[in-house]
Amino acid sequence: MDFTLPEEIEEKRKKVREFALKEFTEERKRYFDENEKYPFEIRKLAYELGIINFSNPWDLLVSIEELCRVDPGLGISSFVYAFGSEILMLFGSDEQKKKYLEPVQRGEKIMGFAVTEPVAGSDVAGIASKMEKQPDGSYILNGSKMFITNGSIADYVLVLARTAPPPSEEKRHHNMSMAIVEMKWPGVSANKLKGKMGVRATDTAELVFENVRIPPENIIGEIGKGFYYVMTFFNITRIYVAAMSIGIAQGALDMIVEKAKKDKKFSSQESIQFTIAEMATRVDAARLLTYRAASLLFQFNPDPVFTSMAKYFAAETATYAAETALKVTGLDGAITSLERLFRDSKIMEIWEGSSEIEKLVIYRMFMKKMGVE
Amino acid sequence: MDEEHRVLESVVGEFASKELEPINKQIELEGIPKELKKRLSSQGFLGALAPYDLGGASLDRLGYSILLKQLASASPSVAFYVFLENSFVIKSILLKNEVREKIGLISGGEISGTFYYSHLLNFLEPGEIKKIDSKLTGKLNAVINSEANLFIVPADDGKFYLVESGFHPLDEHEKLGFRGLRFSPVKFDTSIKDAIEIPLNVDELIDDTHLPISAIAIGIAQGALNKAIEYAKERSAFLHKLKDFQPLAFGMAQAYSQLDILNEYLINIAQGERDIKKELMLKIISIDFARDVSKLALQVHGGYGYLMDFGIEKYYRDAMFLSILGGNHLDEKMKLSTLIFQEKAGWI
Ligand SMILES: Cc1cc2nc3c(=O)[nH]c(=O)nc-3n(C[C@H](O)[C@H](O)[C@H](O)COP(=O)(O)OP(=O)(O)OC[C@H]3O[C@@H](n4cnc5c(N)ncnc54)[C@H](O)[C@@H]3O)c2cc1C
Repeated sequence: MDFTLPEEIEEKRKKVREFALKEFTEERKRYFDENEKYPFEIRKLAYELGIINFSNPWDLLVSIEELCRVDPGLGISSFVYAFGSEILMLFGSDEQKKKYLEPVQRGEKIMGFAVTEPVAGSDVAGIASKMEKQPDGSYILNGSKMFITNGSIADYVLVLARTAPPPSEEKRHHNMSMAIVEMKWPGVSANKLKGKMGVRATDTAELVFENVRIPPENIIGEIGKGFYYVMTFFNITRIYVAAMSIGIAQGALDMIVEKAKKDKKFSSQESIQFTIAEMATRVDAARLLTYRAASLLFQFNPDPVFTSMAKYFAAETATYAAETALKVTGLDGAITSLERLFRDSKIMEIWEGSSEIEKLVIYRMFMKKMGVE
Repeated sequence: MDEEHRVLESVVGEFASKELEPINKQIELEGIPKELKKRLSSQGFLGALAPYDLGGASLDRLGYSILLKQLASASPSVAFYVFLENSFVIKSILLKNEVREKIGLISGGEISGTFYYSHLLNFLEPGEIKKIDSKLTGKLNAVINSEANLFIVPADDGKFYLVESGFHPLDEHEKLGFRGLRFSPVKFDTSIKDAIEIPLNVDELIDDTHLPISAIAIGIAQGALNKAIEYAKERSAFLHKLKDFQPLAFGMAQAYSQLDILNEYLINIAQGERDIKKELMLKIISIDFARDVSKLALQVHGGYGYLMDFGIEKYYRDAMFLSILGGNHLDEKMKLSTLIFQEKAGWI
């Protein structure tokens, strides 16, 4: 068991940190947060400077950590333009990869992943959108999607919808399929959601599909396998959400350490010393959980128990760290980017499987390991 | 609780739901509107602690706690504003006879005041006002309600001064909570002849805020939890109402029980003899509680909780801000430890 990352990955970590410290200036952080604007220029720059490297998963993981450590809103915006791409990588046809995936990987196009609906978020099988097969082989999509990241700036989104009614209540997750939907197609509309508590530089929208015609070549993989694709995707991206969370927690810890360095009276108090010790321990525990889950995934042997443990624990560590850092740094922290870290941190416990859903996954898969079906 | 206080509770509760709830988003985005200040004044809330002869409501400690709790359950920003005007500004002005007539203007909603105490909250660079020759000059950081017409501020001679001219607020700070109030540095360049010294005992003034701050914290928890309970009755996932899932139901039931106990305790100590130890105990616990409950309430709302439109995320931000503005938690824990051990404790 070796707890070190390859040297080139640690080098990359340093490079990303330098990038984030230089480019995510206080003015930019504040501007994109206050105005709820997506930072197109920063995304472009991050791509051009090779900050985002989708071809090496460890490289991507530490980059996410370092970007979010400085600013989650700008950090997430720097790589989330490819949100959903793993689905195409794993289940897309060669034509789909060429037409839709490659332009995203080249930093030219933006995509999104649309599962959540007004009626169902955690309960993916509860969605109501429908794709109905037409005599000419195409599909007609109707329905609406909620909270879709990149929704109002994406060129296309991967949509989950029902292609047939569920065979029974127990099998509600059957008969769901995924398709690539271009945002410029007739019947597609997006309404940007404003007023998020945090990660306000990221774009979030509500999408409506009214009789949208989808050509058969845009159906992803097999009809009826959509739920399985989504769960496979979550098993990958939950690790990246854990990395975002570690970045936030580390960023909050940095703030206390900074104050402790400057203010000896502050750091001489044992309760502050214990707070730093506890926080450093939790951040490290979250990182170790995440790296173990990542290591299995990157060797094509993902373990949903470890993945969900990492996501759940890291997300809670992010909110704990941001709250604690604010509490002990007081007004000093409240008028700096720490208050933004606090607002950003809460989403980690909600998206891509809330903490409650992670616990359900952990329980079920853990018991399965223990031989209980 | 007697009839009079029960009536007050229901009157303020109704005010909160009819007058605050519908404009909550506006308060958060644009600040507390002038008309609302007028309405707060005509109800007697802005002059809650002012004596009758100065147009105030002269509420007792229980009445004042009820007022703040009920306002905070709908709009923590408005509750904090009423608290600032009363617990700091009106109480300070009452100490100086020559300026007592200002109280009528404050309780009438015609002017608003603020009191600078950020320097007491373990704040590294509070800025400073220097008394040089015939002037008070300098800059203060992190001034809450910095659009006020009247400031009570500390100068480098250790005294507090009331000033009504010669200042201007600078660009706003990042605003974690209480977004209905302006929060920014303020620059001062005031002639000393326009500054009136206020004979304050800051420690006493701060001690008197434990109970009202507890009331705001309990109000925040109450507002957030009520919304979460309602939501859990309506929203379904996996073919069941959210309330049917044990972890959610148990979490909210536990919070409800704790809230009820804190509320009883608040009423009890607000009616009894002054007891700084109990007030401090309540404050320390209720501030943490408000933060935990508002976080739980947000979580119950899932993605919707993260959007301003649902009026839930503000409780979590405001509770966090209250845990900063409510007092320096280290100093207060040391103080509480010393009260409990009855000798110096918790200082290493
Ligand atoms: C900023 C933002 C960006 C997002 N981006 C995307 C995106 O790009 N694509 C996308 O598809 N979605 C996206 N989402 C949606 C997100 O994934 C959902 O909000 C999340 O899955 C929760 O769903 P919900 O909001 O409907 O909450 P609900 O499912 O209604 O859940 C409400 C609460 O109940 C709890 N709960 C539910 N079931 C149970 C149970 N069985 N036991 C115990 N507790 C339970 C939940 O944990 C939660 O706390 C985004 C959301 C936000 C806020």
